[in-house]
Amino acid sequence: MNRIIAILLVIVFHLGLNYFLPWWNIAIATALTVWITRLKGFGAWFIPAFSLSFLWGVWILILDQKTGFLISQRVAALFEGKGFVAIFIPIIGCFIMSAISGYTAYLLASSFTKKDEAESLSSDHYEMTQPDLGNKEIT
Amino acid sequence: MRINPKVKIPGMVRLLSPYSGLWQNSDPFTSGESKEIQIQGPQGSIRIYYDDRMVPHIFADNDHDALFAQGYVEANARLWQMDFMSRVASGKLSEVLGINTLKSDIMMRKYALEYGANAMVEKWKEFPDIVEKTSSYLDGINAYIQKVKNNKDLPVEFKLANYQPKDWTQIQSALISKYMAFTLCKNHSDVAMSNNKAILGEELFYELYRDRDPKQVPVIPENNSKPFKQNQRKKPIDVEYKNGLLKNIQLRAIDEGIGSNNWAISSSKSKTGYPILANDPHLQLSLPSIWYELHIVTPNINAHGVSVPGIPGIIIGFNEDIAWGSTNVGQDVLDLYSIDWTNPEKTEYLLDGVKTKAQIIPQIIKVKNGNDITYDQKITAFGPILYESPDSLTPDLAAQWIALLTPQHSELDIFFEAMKCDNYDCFKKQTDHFFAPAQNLVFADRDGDIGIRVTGNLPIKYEEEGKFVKNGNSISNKWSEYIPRESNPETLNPSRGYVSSANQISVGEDFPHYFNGRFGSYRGRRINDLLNNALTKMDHEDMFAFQQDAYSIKAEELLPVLLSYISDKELSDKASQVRDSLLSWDYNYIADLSAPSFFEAWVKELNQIAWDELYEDKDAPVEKPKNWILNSLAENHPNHKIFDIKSTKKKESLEDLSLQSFLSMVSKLDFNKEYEWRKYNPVNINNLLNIPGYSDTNIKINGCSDALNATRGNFGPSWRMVVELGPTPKAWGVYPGGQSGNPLSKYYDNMIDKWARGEYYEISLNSNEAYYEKDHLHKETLKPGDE
Repeated sequence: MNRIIAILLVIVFHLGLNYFLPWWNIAIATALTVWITRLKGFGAWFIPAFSLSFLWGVWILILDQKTGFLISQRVAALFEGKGFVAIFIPIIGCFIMSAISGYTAYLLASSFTKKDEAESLSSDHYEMTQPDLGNKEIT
Repeated sequence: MRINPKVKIPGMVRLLSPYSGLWQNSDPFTSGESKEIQIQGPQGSIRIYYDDRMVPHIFADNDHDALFAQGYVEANARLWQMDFMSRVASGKLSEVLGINTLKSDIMMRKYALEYGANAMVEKWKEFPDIVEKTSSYLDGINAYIQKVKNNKDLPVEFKLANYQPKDWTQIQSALISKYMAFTLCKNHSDVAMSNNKAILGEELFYELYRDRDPKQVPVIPENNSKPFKQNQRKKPIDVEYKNGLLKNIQLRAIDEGIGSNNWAISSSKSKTGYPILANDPHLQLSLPSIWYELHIVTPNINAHGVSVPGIPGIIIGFNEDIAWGSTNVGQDVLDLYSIDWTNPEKTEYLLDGVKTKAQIIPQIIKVKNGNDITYDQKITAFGPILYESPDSLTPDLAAQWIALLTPQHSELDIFFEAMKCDNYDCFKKQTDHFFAPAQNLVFADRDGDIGIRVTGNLPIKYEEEGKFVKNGNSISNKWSEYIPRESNPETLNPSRGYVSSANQISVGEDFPHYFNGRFGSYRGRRINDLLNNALTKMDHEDMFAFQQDAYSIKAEELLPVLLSYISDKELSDKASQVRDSLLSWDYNYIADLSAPSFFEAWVKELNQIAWDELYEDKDAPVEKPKNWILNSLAENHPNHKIFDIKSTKKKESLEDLSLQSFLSMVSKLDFNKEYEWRKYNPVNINNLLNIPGYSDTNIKINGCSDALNATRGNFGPSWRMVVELGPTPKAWGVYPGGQSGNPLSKYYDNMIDKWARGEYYEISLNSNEAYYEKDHLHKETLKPGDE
């Protein structure tokens, strides 16, 4: 369930941030999602990265289809006929940036969590390791 | 210049992101879609209907809104092109494109077009009514800029180069006008002519470099303008620079032969009984095209034609009553002066015996991702220093150029007001303030009048003024007066039943002032032949055929003479094959034929050996005599001493040179290669950034630089238009490009194939809005208000 929420959140954040920020807002959308949903490990970098790059792929396909696939041919002409550059570079770029951002957010979130845990752990330990003085009075 | 479109990976993701990258730059319109846009600027509702070629048909209630809409639609289609052209003219490309364009910037800044544009705008300020009226044109451009700035709709090239458009100003419009002058009236053959004369000696020089081709009929054989003989300019003493050869001076050369055609036939020559006007200006072909087609309808305008984006009004077009077009006059209006500096810093020079300070304008060329380049631009009493010599062996040269001088009037509204005219007098009056580059404006109206007029400023010159480099030591050496406008050459309803021009000399020998320049030879003769000798009355189909005409009089005159010298010679199989091909050729430059290639290659070889005297000193720039001089000598003086090769003991004649050049040409041919004319003379339309994928190369098209269908390299007919002025005018047009400046659009280059095949689109002058309401690709309604 958490993963589905993460997929929806990262897409909503990205679409919303598009109105204010350039394309690299995917990093912010991913970080926010990972932070909020507390995705961990593999899921932290893969789920947002896959969701966003999939979204970009579908989005590009829809835009291209609207022009009868003319625009992909024309964009490919810019790269001297290498059409895959036009299609895959943005998708891969999106994936990489999102993945880096997601994993960084996970590490940061983890470090904060560990710090919290460590703090709570150390306070328990302190309490536990306090010598039981009983009712003896030190004289 | 070649721009490298490669960008780094993060830049690629920016460029290719689906939200704001290139994917958002598809054609903005969906078929049949209507859009209403609230925008600041219009006084009322403006309806713009785009047809199936994306030509806008603008319906506005007044001039203000028509101009606003013109600015808006031009920016919509061509904003980056407009920005690019103004940057080319001002030498500011490197600021946005980086070091690759630095060379171009340095070269353009020497021409000081921004200095000229500033002078132009200052003059405009003296006409506040005109400035006020045309400000809505700028407002329209700026309204579009505000709409796309910093968002996903930014034009492709701005995204590629990663910069934002700045607000459009009068200076930028003036710069585009100056860029047209740079293209059309920049003639600095003075250096070559000075060297030619020094090398050949006066007698031979004047024989080989005559101003007038005796076989040519001028544009205006019967001048109807008011005679003007006062103020003849006397030749100053010691005006000509004569201190030896001018060496190592590199100024951009201009090729002979590419130009434009226009003509109009009267009712008496027309099959339908209605006058017909045709115009095909030949300019550098590019994608996006220089022209933008549009149709403007207001209560007092119904005009269709082409504009240059950035300049208000329709420059070549027609309305319900008249049609108009232009060709370049080509008069020499750029003269060079040697400057005698008095200090090593080159800030003071000698003028009439007095040390005179040059005006210094600091120049900073900003270079994207590089260091700024700074230097001082020096302006003398004659004009800017165009050539700065690295040593003391050659002088620095200043240029007096009409494009940099202050015009006498505002030119801002000329073509907008001309669109309202319904007769010759009105058209003449409205275009009378046009300053430069001077144009042969052709005219026809529904009442049957046809005319042509040299429009623009013509300096009063002494005999041969501007042909050679002048001494810049006296202010009296520069020209300072113009022929009064009422005496500009013109002809109305000539007895021959037509008017025509193809960049030949505009005036006859009876014109009372010296008139020199770079003039075409063969196209003018060809169109006059076709119009004179038509066996039947002509219609628009004949006009189409004339515009596609690929026949060369140069070849017709020269080839039989050359062939006569080799017809009885024993030749190798290879050479015989070439000779046979030439013998059966009909002088039409057809794309698939090899004979035109063989002929041109032969003439190239012949030119190299015939003018060997000129090429002895490789460091001295020279210019060969014009093609018609070679033809004339071949026809009349085959034993002329110029045909003697200096390095041999034998005394050669044209006969020897013909054979020698023919064999040399054949020896260089590789018979495994194809020599079709289209391959020897490839016609290319390059993208302004020289991106190969956005250019169209090796286009199959007939013609050559001496044919009416003048095509060569990147030059060719940039707009073909034919208008028949009946009760309801009928018109046809096409240009090699597309309405959209967006390389990702299908309307970017969609007209090229039709243009290359010699076909036309029928152009609508229908002013019934309901017609477009029913049938349009897209409709945009601009309404006053905040978006």
